[in-house]
Parts: sequence; structure tokens; C-alpha cells
Amino acid sequence: MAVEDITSGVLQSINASSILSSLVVLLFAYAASRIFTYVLTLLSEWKALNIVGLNRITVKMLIPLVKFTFYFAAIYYILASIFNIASSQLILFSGLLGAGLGFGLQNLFSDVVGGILTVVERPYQIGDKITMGGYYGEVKDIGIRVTRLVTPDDSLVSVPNGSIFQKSVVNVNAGNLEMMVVIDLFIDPSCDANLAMNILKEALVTSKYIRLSEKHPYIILMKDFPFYKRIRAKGYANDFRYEFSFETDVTRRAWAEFSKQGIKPPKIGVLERDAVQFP
Amino acid sequence: MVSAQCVIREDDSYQELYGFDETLKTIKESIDKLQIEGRSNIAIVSEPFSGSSELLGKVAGIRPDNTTKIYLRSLVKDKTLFEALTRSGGIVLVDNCHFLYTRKIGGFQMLDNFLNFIASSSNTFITTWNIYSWNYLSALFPLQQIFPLKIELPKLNSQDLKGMIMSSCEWEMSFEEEQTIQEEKILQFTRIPIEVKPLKRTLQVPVPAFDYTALKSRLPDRFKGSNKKETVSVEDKVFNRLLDYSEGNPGAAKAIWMRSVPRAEGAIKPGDIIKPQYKIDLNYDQAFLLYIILCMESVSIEELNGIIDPNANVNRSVHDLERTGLISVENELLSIMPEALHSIESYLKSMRLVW
Repeated sequence: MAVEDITSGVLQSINASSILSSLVVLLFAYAASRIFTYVLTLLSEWKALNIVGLNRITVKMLIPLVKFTFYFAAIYYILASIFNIASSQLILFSGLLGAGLGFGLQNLFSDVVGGILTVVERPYQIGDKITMGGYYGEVKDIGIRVTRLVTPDDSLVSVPNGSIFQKSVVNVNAGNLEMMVVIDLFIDPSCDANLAMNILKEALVTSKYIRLSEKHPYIILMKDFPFYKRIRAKGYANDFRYEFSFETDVTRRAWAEFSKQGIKPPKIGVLERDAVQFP
Repeated sequence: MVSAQCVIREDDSYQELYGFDETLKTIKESIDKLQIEGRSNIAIVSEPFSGSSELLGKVAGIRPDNTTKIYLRSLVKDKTLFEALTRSGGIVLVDNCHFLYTRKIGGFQMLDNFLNFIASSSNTFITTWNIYSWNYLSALFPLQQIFPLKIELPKLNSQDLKGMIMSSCEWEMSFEEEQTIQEEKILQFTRIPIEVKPLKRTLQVPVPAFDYTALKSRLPDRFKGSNKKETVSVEDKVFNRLLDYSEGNPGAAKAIWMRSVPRAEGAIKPGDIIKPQYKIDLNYDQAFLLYIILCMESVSIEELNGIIDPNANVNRSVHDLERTGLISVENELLSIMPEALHSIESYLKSMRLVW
């Protein structure tokens, strides 16, 4: 009975005027969310945030929240005010709509739910560097359906939000701007590994991109392989946007010093194919 | 042109120390306990221009017959320091220990040797450090273990600043209120250019900037942290303003005073004190260079060349920094302008180079 009431009520209120009003409300929600996103993005890049102990990610995490609030408020307004559906009917209608979507548009529904869960649970936020759906990059946008990542080679990848249900998401900085960077250098086994470790340590700690503090320590490790030695440095980049600059800076200066000190790379052909992985 | 009212004497040798009584007392107590509790090395950590060298001079007077003073004035490159350290006994004062390292590969050897020397010595070391260098180095070396007593120099209050400025003036000062009370704007709008990519245009967006000093001056007394209705003298208003602008740093306060007072015609008014303001917009390499100068306090271009990326043009960056009034170049040595210290610190915090 109630279902019939809702259906007939909704059908009766569908006319040119209500459709137009709904479109205007949706357009308004879209425009408002874009404006807020733009303003928050601008604000997030304001350098003075760092002075007051905030960073761009703390501001950017508001973006999906604002966006979702606008869209859900718009949908609620359309259903409640334009189509005159009462609250109890609205709950019933949502259930019906959900079931319909569940059967017909399973993937879309899963992506939307994934988007909502992302906003609530925050496994990642806008500005974080993540690996999702097999792609690595900085999160540029969390939309209703997809999450957009910018990869290190500047490609924009849209990963469906539903993929968080199927695959793990790796978040390398978890809301912080600092990011641990692992730098591997391979040297010939006949070379002085202690000297190489010391040089790599100093190249790491003197880098202009490093963040050094009690919370952000560094470590230098060495592993012996049959035909080479791997010297590994782990340190925090000041800002994950400098991830590759940091790696380059340390590697370049360490190798310049290695060559001065007679430390040589392994002989050609002895590096295992999988020794260096990206990222 | 310098006004006939007040000129800061450049020679600091006969100046009194202001604001460090408690610090001096702590150091004295620590020295007195040496016989009973054994040695405890002290690190005095401070911002540039905060008067740590002058303080060390006072410390030298506590046990003059048993104290060796070693003042480092530039980057230490040879072993003469260690010869001097070997000859010294009792209490050893080492000023400006940040001159013992360079932020480059192989640049920590001297500091490492120095710390090893201290660890194996039976003498007591009282050392001074630049706070930015200290913060960096304490993540690399166990400084806190080697110097169990770390003293951060306090910022001066307005009375200390007043005493310091007035004691170094050669003439009697007079103060007066502004003739016409200039209403300072609490809220001012500065226009910043924002590129709007979809429109392919750059818009000048007004951004509000609060003047907290003006705001504070207009607050009723009950909001200023005091229940008593106090009448602030003109003199105090002048020095309160100096305190706000210098953040209690003696060197910055002196520099601001020197820049401000020549403007005064006749008596000094609160409005004569000029707030140092800089428009700083640097790329990362330039900001890092500025950070290095801040940490080293005094460094030559030649020394910077070994620290800064060879692809970055040090000479051009130095020229830019000098032009914006952030650094000065004297006898080929670069140093921060004292009055720009806190603007630089804020900017480097925003660039995440200082934390």
C-alpha cells in the first residue's frame, strides 16, 4: 500500500516544472561543490598553513566531505520538497532505490558506497600518495564514483571507489606531508661497504629535502648479495611532492662522492632483474 | 641621518646584560656544583643576535682563573681548535659551536672530533649554539647526552629591552604621544594574484591581514590579561611596540630601533617604531640557501658553494636575498639582517625548512 502511495505520489509530481527545479538544484549543488573545492584547494596551497601547524592535506580532507554534503542535501531537497515525499516515505523510497540499484547498477552502487566509506573511514584523503587499483600517485579528487590520482608521470587515473572492496589500498603518507623514501645504491662487493654507508648517510642527512627529527629518523642498511652489496637509506622527505627530487639529490651526491672515494658499481650484468622495484 | 636623541653605541664591551639574570644564575649554580656532583656540560641554545656571546663573556667572569675562552668566529677548518682545547683545563667556554659543521658530505668531521674530545675530557664545557643548527644536529648526534644541561636563552621583555636600549644611548631620550592619533587599521586587505586556469586570467584577490598589535591596543584592559586598569606611559608604549616587532630578540630590537629612531624629529613617539616587513617569494633552492645562512649565522659564498646544489646559482640567489633586505654581505661574509630574523623564520616554516 505504502509503496503504491509513494509511486503514485512521485509519478503525479513528475512534470516539466519539477524536473526543471530538480535540475536547477543539482546544478546549484554541482556549482557550489566546485566553488568550495576550488576555494579549499587554493587555501590548502597557502604556505602560511605550515606556520600554524596545519598542512594542505588537513584542508583538502574537507573537500570530499563538502562535496558529499552538497549532493546529498540536493537529493534530499529534490525528494522532500520538489516531489513532496515525507520522511517515512523517503526512508522507504531509499530502500527501494537501493535495492533497485543493487540489482541493476551493482558496480555503480558499489562505487558510490565506496566513495561514502572513503569519506567516513578515510583510508586516504585528497593530497595523500596511495597505491590503489594497481596505480600509484597523489590523490587529486575523491568523487562520488571515482578517485582521481595523478601518477608520477603526470597521468590522471580514475580509479572506481568500489575497488577498495576488492584490493588493499596502500597509503604512503597517511595524511602527513612527510614521506619515507627508500633509496637503494648497489656497489661492487670488493668496495669498502662501511665507507659507502657513511657517504650515503651523509648524502641523505645533508639533503635539502630531508625532514630530520625524533619523529622522523633515518637509517642506513646494508645487505650482501652474491655479486653486489646493496646499501639502503631510509629517510623522510620534507614533503612527499619532493619524493623523486629527494631520491635524485641523495643518489647524485652519493655517487659523486663514491666515485671520488673509488667505490664502484657492480659489474655489468650481475644485478638481479627484480632488485629495483618501483615504487 | 641619525637623530641627536639616541644612538646605539656599536661597542658592546661595556654594556650590561639584560634579561639573562636567571640564566646566569642557573649556570653559576651548575658551576658551583662541579666539585660535588662532578662535571656537567652545558649547551646554551639561542636564536641569532640573542646575546649568547655576551652571556658567555659574563660566564667567563664567574671563575676567571679556571676558565678558558674559545670564541669561534667562522667555520673551523683546521686543527688549531683541538690544540687550544688540549691546552685548556677546568671550565672551557666554546662560543658558536655551529661553526664546527658544514651541511655537506664530509662536513661533520670537525664536530664529530669535538664531541669525542668532550666525551673523553675531564673538563667542563659550556658551549653556545645556534638554535636552528642545534635542532638539526640533535637528530644526528647525541647532543642531549653530551650536554645534559641545555639552556634556551629567554626572550627579553619590554622592560629589559628598555634597559638595554636606554643604557646604550648617548643622549637623554624624550617620549611623547602622537599629535594626531593615527587610527591603525586592524584589518587591512592586500591583493594577491591568483591564476584562474579555466578563465586563463590572473585575478587580484583581496586577502585580509590582521594587525594584532593594533587589535591589542584597542582591546579593553580586562581583555589584556590584567584586571587592574593600568595607564601605560608613552615610554612603555614605545618599548611594547619594539617588543612586539622584535619578539624579544635583542639584536632585532636594536636593529629596529636604529632604523626607527632616525625618523623621529624631536621626541620619540610610539608610531616612530617601524615594523619590519618583507615580501619574500623564493624558490626552494633560495629558501634552502637562506636557511643555511640562518643556521650558520655567518658564512662565505665560497663555503656555500660546497653546500648548495651546483645547478643553483649561488651568486644570483645571494644578490636576490641581499636586494630584498633579508641578508647583508660584509667582507664577503653573508649574514641575516637582524630585523628580518622573524620574517625569515616564519617564511622558512611555511617552506617546511624550519620546524
